Amino acid sequence: MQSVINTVKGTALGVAGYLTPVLKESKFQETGVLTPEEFVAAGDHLVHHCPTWQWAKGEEAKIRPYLPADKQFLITRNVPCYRRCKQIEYCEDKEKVIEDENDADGGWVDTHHYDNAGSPALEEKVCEMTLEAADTGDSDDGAADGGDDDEDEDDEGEAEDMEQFQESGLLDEVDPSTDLAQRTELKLKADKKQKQGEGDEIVRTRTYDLHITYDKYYQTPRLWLIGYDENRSLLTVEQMYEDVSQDHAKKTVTMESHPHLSGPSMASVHPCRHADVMKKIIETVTESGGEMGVHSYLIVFLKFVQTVIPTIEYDFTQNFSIN
Amino acid sequence: MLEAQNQTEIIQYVPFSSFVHPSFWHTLTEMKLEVDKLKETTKQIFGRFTYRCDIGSVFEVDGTSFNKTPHLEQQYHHVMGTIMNKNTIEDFKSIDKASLLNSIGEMIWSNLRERTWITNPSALLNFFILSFADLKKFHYYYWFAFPAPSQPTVHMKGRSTKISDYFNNKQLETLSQCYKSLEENQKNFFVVIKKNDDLSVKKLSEVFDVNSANCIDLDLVSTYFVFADPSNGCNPGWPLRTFLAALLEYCPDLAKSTLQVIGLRSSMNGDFIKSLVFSIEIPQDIKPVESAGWVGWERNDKGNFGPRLANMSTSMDPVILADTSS
Repeated sequence: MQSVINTVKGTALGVAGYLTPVLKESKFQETGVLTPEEFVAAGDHLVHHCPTWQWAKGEEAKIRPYLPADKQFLITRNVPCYRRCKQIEYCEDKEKVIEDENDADGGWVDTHHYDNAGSPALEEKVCEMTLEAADTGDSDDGAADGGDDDEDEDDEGEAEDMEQFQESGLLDEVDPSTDLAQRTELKLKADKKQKQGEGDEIVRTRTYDLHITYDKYYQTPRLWLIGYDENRSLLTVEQMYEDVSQDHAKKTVTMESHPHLSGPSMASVHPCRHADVMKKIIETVTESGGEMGVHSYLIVFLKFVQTVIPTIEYDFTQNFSIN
Repeated sequence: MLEAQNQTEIIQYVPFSSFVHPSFWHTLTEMKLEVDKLKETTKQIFGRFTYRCDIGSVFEVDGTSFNKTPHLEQQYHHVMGTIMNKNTIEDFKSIDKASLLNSIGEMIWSNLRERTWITNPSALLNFFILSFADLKKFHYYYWFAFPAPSQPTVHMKGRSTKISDYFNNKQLETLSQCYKSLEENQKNFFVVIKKNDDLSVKKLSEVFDVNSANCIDLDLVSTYFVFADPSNGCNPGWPLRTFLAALLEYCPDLAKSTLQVIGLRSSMNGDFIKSLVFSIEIPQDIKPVESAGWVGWERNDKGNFGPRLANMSTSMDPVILADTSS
């Protein structure tokens, strides 16, 4: 049901975004929103300080006129994600709601709130938990298996069809200079997987491409996720939800169409609360006598969306303290 | 042990494995329906690969592949290629794949024989997609080829070694600094000269003369041929293959000599400590490229030579989309 609402809402907001005039005046200090110029400035700052981020152009047909052609959105590729978020048990002492709202489903949860930072016991606990989860073969893994099986069946069905396309007599078949080791390795891996069943692979390193676009309707940045498994195939939505804090899956993280790339819906952190959270942070900084410049917007933004995707280890080279 | 060190074996290049983002099919469909319609022309597109050592030999295309000018990305190289989208499945099936690849290869080679690669090393990279789009079912049949000449065959002496066995930290630092300042089309293939403690990065055009018929004297002991290496195993990646072929065509005197080749591989933070050095032995009788055909058709998931199928109906078919959204 939630997805229907999101779809309808997404479409409606697409229209609304089209009608919403481009924000001209800076309202950053009062409301936490950004003008496209401020987005570009903050983006330049991020690229400068975290070199793994860079500007991208996207598809030429989808260039938005209110942003420079070569600075349409920000991208960082192949960010490692070593463990599943859901395998980390949520301990009370690790969570801290960083924002109190009367709103029932409001509030950002800091899932990695360490009161005494770097406690080794905690790390151990996490490891144990990972093992346990793997041993018991948690239910969603099973579901994923089911999905795989289905796919395999499909593959076989297709393979029969596809066999008629197979070619012979190509020079490639007898080429001595082609390395086939990787392929055999993959096959071995797959065989091993089938024999031992799932659950034995504790560490399944996934990688993510992260995009930050400018959302014209909400006038804030918006984070997008594209996940790959260890064999470099695209993750399904359900698989990606494993890497999203369970409080946020399906609610904060929704599937919508990317403004600069065509294709199916992609996972993104819904921007409806970004401005509010940002405003709160600005106020906190101001109260403690500091000042937050608009250029550091994206660095702070990445800090607070990390609570949604705590296991995706994107790069921070700058520390920003809220208190 | 000594024997193992000096053992020479036929070089094994690691082929690319293709990865097609869903946005590629969406954009292709749009182009087919709105621009090309029934025309069956080939199209110039762009693909990319990374030489980052933790990714592997993946070659990607997506919706931006149809852009007129590619947007530069750090740790990625863009490759200009061609897509041939057939109108019917029969055409797709019946086209002679071996002679298709050979004719593409001949075109590439006649271009390279003009020595364009010396001034524009990116010309050594290429890719080709043969496709058929079933726009009723949203099924996309596609087959990637990464054309490379099957000859000459060269040998690798011993195992690959870490770059740090040859260069100290200061030299590696110089290498990464100089690399950054190279123009984009020079970053795929270049030359490194090591003199005593100094390291210098040279563009191919600084080492080779486009007009001269004779190979310039190179001190092979201090010269390293460098290529951006997508492979993350102990064998060199596919781009080296055409580079060596072009090099040996330009300079047949290299027969019977040993070349030092650096497979440039970047760590996540951008240093080149993960790079490998290969010792390549050129046999006495180098068979010319023309003596044999071209290779490079990608194997499919089953390991056979055949196309792959992308079934996009769940994300493109309006009927299924309408079903799942309710």
